[in-house]
Amino acid sequence: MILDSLLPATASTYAADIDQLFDVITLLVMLPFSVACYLFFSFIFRFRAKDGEKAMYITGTEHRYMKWIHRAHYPVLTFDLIIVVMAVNVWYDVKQDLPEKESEVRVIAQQWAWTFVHPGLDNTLGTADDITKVNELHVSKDTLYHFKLESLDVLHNFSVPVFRLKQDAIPGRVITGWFEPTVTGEHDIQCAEICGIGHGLMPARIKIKGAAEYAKWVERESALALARHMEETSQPLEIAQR
Amino acid sequence: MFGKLFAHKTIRATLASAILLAGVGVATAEDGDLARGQQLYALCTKCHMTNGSGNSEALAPAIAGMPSWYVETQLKNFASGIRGLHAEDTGGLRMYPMSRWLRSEADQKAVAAYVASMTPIRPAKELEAEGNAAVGAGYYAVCSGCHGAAGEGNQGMGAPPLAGQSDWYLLSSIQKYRAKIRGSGAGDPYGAAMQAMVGTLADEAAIVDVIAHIESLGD
Ligand SMILES: [Cu+2]
Repeated sequence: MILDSLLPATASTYAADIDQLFDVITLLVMLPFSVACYLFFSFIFRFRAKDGEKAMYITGTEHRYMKWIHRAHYPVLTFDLIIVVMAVNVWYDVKQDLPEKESEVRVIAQQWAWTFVHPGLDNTLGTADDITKVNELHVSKDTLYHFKLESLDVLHNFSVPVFRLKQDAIPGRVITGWFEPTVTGEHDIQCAEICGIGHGLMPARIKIKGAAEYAKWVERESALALARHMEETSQPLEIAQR
Repeated sequence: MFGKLFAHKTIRATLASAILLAGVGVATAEDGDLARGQQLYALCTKCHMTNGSGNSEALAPAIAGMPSWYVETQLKNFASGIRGLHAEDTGGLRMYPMSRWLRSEADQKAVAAYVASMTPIRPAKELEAEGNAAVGAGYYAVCSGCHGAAGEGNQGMGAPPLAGQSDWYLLSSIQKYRAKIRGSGAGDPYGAAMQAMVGTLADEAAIVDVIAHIESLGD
């Protein structure tokens, strides 16, 4: 609403909830901030040094002074409470609740690239027709995805600005999350956790396709993956390194 | 008004030196500006080290003294994704963003020229396996067609020098070619050729032996 022009497009089911939270926080913080600024600067002006007028020493402990501080507390605490309740609600939806999946994708972060493993025609990960792409995530619109986020080396963060999604990748852990794209298009994926000298150039792209177009892509790519799998490729030999 | 502005001595001098500097920059970058190359090489030192000795922990091979044509080609291949952009090429994937820090051909040439100007460093032995260099010499006959009998490389064949390269890097390269992790990029005829050539090394022993032979070259 207020921040629309400043934020990237929205393309997930929960993006609007997060934007709404941005708006609420901006409004509820802006209000006390404006009042405080107004009082601060008007008091500076009003009670400036004047000839023949001596400054009054106030300890601020008397009730008639203290009450102005107490009274300001109530709305600020109320606003905080509103923000907390709304934020917890959205957090629960995005991060804690895991809706039933329609498809899934493996996301592997490493210095300094993203590898995405898409399920092939069988819509199951870990099979021969899995489609592996570097720095390219292909998804189908209106499909609920679970992502399995891993890191091969250090901390990274899987950030998809158009989804309003950010999730740390932690080496040694597989972190599950979800998203559902709502609009077709191509957008940025970025690493949002400093991860070494190449961090700034670790971008990938997300390609959100319509169901028919995505099905065509899977059919083509998963056939290629299967062919590559069938091909007699020799595995790297294990030769001990000192 | 503009006449008056440009008449100002300081502005005139600044403009003149800016034009001069721009001219100089263009002229020397053509053939690989060493000073510029050294400045840009600061990015590479994190893994390839200040002296270009490489660092196996960072999966970075020794590059000091590599011919500039080869370094330049590889920088371009990394930047365009012809090399390194494979899910299992951990080291290559690191070079993909790093190569893209170099935003112009002049900068690629400058870094290549600087790397070529560095004094080669004989890397220490890192592989545990002891190969038989004499047996390896037999396998190497195939390699020498392009890489040269002394492992000196051959620009005409697109073959880099092998003598003086780290043993762990030779091993990882051979393994990547075998597994088609390297050399599968479109527009990489030399990589495709290498995928075929490593097929002549039938087993683990053959690989270790040929590496032992390459390591004995240039002694
Ligand atoms: Cu990262």
